[in-house]
Amino acid sequence: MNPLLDVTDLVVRYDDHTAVDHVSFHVDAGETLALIGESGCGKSSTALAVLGLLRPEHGSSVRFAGQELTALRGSRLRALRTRFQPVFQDPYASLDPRTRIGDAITEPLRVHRRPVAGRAAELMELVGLDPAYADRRPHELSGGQCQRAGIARALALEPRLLVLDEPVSALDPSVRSGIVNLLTDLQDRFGLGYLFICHDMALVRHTAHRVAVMSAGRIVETAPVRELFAAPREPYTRDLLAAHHRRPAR
Amino acid sequence: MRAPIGRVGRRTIGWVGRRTIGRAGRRPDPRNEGGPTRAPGRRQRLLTRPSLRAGLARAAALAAVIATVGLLPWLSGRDPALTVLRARSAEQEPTAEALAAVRRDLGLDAGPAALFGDWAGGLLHGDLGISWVSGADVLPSVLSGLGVSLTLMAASLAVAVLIASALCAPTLVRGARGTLRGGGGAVAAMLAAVPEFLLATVLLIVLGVWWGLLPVSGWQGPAHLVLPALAMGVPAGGLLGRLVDDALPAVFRERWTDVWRAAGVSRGCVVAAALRRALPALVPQVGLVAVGLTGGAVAVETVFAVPGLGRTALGAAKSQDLPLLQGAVLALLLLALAAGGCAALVRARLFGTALKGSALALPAPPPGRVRAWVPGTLAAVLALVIGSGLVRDPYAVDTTLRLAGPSAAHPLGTDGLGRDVLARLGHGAASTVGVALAVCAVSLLLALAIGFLPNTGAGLADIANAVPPVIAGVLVAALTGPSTLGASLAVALISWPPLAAHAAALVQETRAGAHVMALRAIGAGPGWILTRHVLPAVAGPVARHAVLRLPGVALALAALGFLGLGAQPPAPEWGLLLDESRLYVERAPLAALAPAAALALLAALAVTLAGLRPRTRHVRRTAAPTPAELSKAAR
Repeated sequence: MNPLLDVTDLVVRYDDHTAVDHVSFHVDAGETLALIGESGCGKSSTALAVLGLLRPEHGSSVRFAGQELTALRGSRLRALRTRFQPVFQDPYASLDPRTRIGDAITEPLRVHRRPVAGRAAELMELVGLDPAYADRRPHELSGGQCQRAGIARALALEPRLLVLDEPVSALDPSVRSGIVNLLTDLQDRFGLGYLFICHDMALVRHTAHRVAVMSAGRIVETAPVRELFAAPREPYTRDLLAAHHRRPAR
Repeated sequence: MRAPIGRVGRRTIGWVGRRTIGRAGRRPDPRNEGGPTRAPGRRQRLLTRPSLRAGLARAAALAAVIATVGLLPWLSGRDPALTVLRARSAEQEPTAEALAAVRRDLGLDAGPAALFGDWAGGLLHGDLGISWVSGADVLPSVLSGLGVSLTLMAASLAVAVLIASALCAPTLVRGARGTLRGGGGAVAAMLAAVPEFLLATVLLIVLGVWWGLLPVSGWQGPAHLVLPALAMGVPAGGLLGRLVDDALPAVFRERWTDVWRAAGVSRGCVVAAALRRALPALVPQVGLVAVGLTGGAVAVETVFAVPGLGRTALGAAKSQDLPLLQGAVLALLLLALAAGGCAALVRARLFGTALKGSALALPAPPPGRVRAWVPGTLAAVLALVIGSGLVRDPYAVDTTLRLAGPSAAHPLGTDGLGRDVLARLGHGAASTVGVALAVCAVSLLLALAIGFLPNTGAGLADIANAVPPVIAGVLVAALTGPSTLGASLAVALISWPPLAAHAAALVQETRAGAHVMALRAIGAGPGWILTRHVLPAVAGPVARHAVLRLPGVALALAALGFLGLGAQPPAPEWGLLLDESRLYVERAPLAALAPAAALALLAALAVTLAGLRPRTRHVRRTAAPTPAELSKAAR
């Protein structure tokens, strides 16, 4: 069986700088692959390339359920986008400040000309957001509520994969666990695959099935989460974990 | 000990400033994730391609302006043969043969390409052609006008620098003491907003006619220089002073000033360093002030009958003497370009390599206090005058009551034809503001359309900056004849580029926003994103900007009316009112001072409106957890 997402030899360059250097990994349905590494190691560029928001170099392959993404353009790419959706780090910035929450959640449906009636309330209940908030604008919601709206919007098209680009790192610690629990619940319920970009080791340990460690644009180690935390093979991974242990959890 | 600190510190000013900006500019994200990988590529692309495109846009703009000037005789589409014949010999009958001979003589039947070729070819040999009216060579009269205008501009710049220094002195003293508070700059803003033609008229009335201190017309000696130089220099000085005074508080807020003071560096040294930090970034604007002087020269030279380039251009435009107009406008534009070029050179010299990547950009000035009641009161007073004037008849001529003083029947007196001044003021406002509204609306639409084309902003703003409204008015009047439509066209032509630059910046900012990326991720096409998200985000702020420019546009229209390039008599246009009544200023000062006061109110309104910084974004709530969130988190 094909994995849900299969990335092979992904290369992303910005002019003379190689941000992602021959990165390969896969994500199965119902599985969370955490992508960890320090700032600027290429995690977010990888996410953008997987989402098709950034054109990778020639020779890169991003296959979604067996279908090559990098070869698609225009409307066919937009059609395939219904299958994988992003949740971004900053819940406020990723919603148009002028659009009401209810409209923002159903916007993907309207873009793809699917029936909208009643879906806003349904989706908001699914993510634990009071449907009464549908008429509010993002700045009238708290960060956690806003991120729930972002998740509801990502789920509107019933995707099979979510690309979570640090979905909780901009949130208050008190709100984080609520969002994380919501994400795990949704995964159990719908068998979603998660590509989870993160640098909070405690969170990774708690949520991920497998972990890929990135450094300077390359994946240095991929291992099941228990194995990685128990016996990191690479020195870089050891440094990363040690740095985490020295720092009190926030 | 002091001197070395000062010297070392001075060299590191740029570095200190850069760090501060870096911190303030980026959103405070403790881990700063994702940014660094994307930043280098984006910055590099910004440096290379758009600057090249902006350079091309500048070159194209210059070429377009020169082509317009060169093709003026053909573009105007009118047959000047009769005018020229009349001007040359009043007795000759305008027969078909005589007219044809004149046309042949002027080379008007050769077609645009040959006409432009002739003109450009002559230009290269230093031959600007022959005046259609006087039959004399154009070049000598342009050169003599240029000499006069340059003297006048130099004197005006001296006045401007004096005034600017006086305006900045308190800020500098307080900044060096460390007792600087926000606000201020109102005086400078007011001075900057007074149009030259208004100031010139008021100076002429008060200092020249009433007090008789100084000669009011001609060009015979240094005394003749004083009033014109004041009229041009005071607004320019106000503008310069305002620019520096706006920049200084932000500079004094930078950390290094505290460090220097704490290290015992002398106040004078801190002041010098603050100026060294603030001034280079303002050099381009100083260039713009010099450009503005070329436009101001037209009005001021006309009022004081100074035989300079501006008066030559205006006279040539009015008499359809196109070769002379071409020469004069070309000289004015070259003067403006030279000023801009000098500014760029000085800036490059002062900044050196730090110019790249705008590493030494000044920090944004701290937001001023918003006092909405000031423009509100001004608008109310204006509305009161306009309203009480609107119910009267502005055209009713009463020759028995010429130049009457204020009375119950005519609260502001009457003008030279016995017409009610208040009525003319009220009706003039209605038409001026109406036209200004139309101009603003057209500018807004143009700006929105063009703002969506990438990288247009810089080049367009340059064109607008290089052509003062009065010069544009002179050119358009030469093409279409003086009329309200022509004046509004001229003002519209130079008032949309700043709006377009604003729109382009907003479009760029919105497109770079995370929510636009999120929209692409949900599969929204470019059309969807443009019409439903980018356009609504851009249209509001740009429309507000257009409204804020309304009084400025009205003033520009009044300036053209004053010069006889806009509305024609007997229309009650404010600039025209001022121009008509200044002839009778000794007998009926109120008839001249009333429109002057109204224009001053309008200028004050323009300044105070512009000072209201529109709140662009809702203040983002920090993510304080609600009870519902907390209970969920606890679960």
